[in-house]
Amino acid sequence: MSDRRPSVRTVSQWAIALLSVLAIGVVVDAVRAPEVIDPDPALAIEPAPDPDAPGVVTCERTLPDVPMTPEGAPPPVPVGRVTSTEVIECPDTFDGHLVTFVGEVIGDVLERDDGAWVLMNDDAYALQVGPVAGGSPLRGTNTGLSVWLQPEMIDLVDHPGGPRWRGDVLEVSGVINRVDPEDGGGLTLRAVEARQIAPPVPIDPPLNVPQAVAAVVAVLFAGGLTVLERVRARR
Amino acid sequence: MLLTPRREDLALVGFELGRLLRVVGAAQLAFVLVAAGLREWNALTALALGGGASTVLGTVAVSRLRTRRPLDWSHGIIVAAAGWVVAAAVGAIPIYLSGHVRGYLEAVFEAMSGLTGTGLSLLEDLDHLPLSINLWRHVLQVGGGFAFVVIAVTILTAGLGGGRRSVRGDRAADRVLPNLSRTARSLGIVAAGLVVAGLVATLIAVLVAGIAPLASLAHAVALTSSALSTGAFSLRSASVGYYHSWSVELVVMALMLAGATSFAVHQHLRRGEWRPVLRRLEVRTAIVMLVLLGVTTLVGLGRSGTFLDVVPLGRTGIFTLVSAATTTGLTVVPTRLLSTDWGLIAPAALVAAMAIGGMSASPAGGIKMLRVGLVWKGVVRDIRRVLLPESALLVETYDHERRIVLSDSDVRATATVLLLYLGTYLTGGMVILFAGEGSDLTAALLESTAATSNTGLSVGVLRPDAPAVLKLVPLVQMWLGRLEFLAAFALIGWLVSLPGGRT
Repeated sequence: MSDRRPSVRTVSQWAIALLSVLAIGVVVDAVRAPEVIDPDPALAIEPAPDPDAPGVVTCERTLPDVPMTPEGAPPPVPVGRVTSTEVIECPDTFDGHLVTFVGEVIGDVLERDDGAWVLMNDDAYALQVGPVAGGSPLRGTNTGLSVWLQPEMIDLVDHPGGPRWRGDVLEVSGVINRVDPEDGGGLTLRAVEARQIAPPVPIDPPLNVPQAVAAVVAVLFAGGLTVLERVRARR
Repeated sequence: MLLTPRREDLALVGFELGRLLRVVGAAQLAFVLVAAGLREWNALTALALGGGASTVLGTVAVSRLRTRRPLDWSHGIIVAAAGWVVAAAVGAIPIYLSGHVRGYLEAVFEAMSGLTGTGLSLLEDLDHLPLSINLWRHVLQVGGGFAFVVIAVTILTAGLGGGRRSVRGDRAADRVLPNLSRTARSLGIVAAGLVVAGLVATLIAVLVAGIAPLASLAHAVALTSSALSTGAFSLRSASVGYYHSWSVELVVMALMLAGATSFAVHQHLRRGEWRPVLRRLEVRTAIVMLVLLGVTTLVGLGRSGTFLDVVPLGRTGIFTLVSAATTTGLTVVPTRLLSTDWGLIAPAALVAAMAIGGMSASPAGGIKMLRVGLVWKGVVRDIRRVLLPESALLVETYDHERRIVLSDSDVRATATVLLLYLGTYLTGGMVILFAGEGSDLTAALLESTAATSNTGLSVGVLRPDAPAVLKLVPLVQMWLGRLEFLAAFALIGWLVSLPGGRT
């Protein structure tokens, strides 16, 4: 690389390129779908948490000692409802305790010989505002627990959640395993009771028409430019 | 004082970037078919808009800046460095339009994370993300990983600290494009074999795990693409822990190790040549480091009091170590547990494994085993020099495709890059510590190391609601780490010289 500065023509070409990029940016931003102001009431299982409540989870919940019980039998003292955030922040606090957990079944029901694994999320998308795919506001990342369902509980799941479904919301009672030896050391909840508290809800977002129009224009423009460029290159 | 690039240099770089934009655009347009098959109409229009915009920009650049001038080494470096930024900027369009990110910065972060094979994510509500957009993220991982290996072998002087030593060591090899095509073809054969084997193995494993047959194909594609490109994107927020399957974990571990293995080693293995593989310095270093860090991780997990049985300890510990050492970042437990429930020793070993990284000329990030081995040999050589008589002639060699004499310049260049990595780990950690709310030093260092070494292990400091600086700094770190610094510095120097350099 040596010794001549870019010419005025080159500078104006770069200016045109920058303006093109800006124009594309403005169009892309303009066609992005806005959040839905009034989401489907069927998606709200419970009210949103108090915005003034402290967000940081502390591991100071006072729980009774886990009594000695025969292997496989749950401890008789349930400690109440927990959230996945609490359990993940303080796994040793809840290890071995019988808890209640409410969450949306996500993805797949992984049936095995004597039961099934499910992922149950208890974030805002599961219990308050519904999936973003339906236009709901953004409320952070997903959070949930791996739950082992007994064979008789599998039929409670009609349709797990995904891009087009807010899945079944179940309330399960079960024992938290900080290191589940039958799961290779994973953090799990082994359910002893379960009930469905909300059925699955289909999510069918309307077509984003401005985005569709912009896409058609962009593809046609790109196709036309490509043909012109090929013709010019051959000459 | 830097030399100002000529108009022809700008045109050449712009032309090549235009070609890259067209490739990214074509990939997005091809993905429109995936969205159509899944009947995800808004995702379809998002991909079409992204593909159209990228193709328009690329075609304008190619037609206005067309040149027959060959790409030489210096231009190649600039195109490589700028290419990642440009590809992330346009690859982010469908992600932004999906509505699952707060703004364009988060979308670019996601795209850059995919292209650099990192896997850190600012996406919200991943579990309800349209499948076509989710798979697009995985495609970015594969594209970035493949591109990096080709560029590393032909332009970035694979594995060594720097300097303009081309692959064949002669002027003819400074013509980049013929080398790129030859390398891409060779790599394509290796990659195709691994991808096919990976897809078949993961498909069987997820079917056995209980995934429905139709869905299992998507899971197999996602797992194979992430593991081989050593990125941490997954279809579900629970990562590999979602499957609760030792067979899935075994297959993914094998693919992660294959992904972090040097392209040259794969070539030797394809030809059944074991001896050259075992003689290579980076292979020996990798074996030693994996054993040392593996023992440390398992002992640390045992001492943490979390794991009381050997089997869960071994299974979880080994998978997480392999994931960290290959700079993949896929997990079998919630990553937050690394800081809340695994003590200090095991996470420290994992940070060290991430920091060191995989082999050169692979999609893995980190300092690289070869550099660690070279620095170690340099230290041993200097100690021996001190102990031997002054008149003694000490020649230290190492194996990297052939027997090479270890020179002072090799050690110096390697140590420079190693110091750059360590400095970035620490600097990024300090920024995260001061800008992050409620983060501690361990979490900040882990997050910074994860970003720079292109590993996807996050303990939750990096969040969608974090301040912009906590997203910008890791974004830059991912880019710097992918390019192993020197190409990035070359681009920055080039840009600085544009307004005023020596004429």
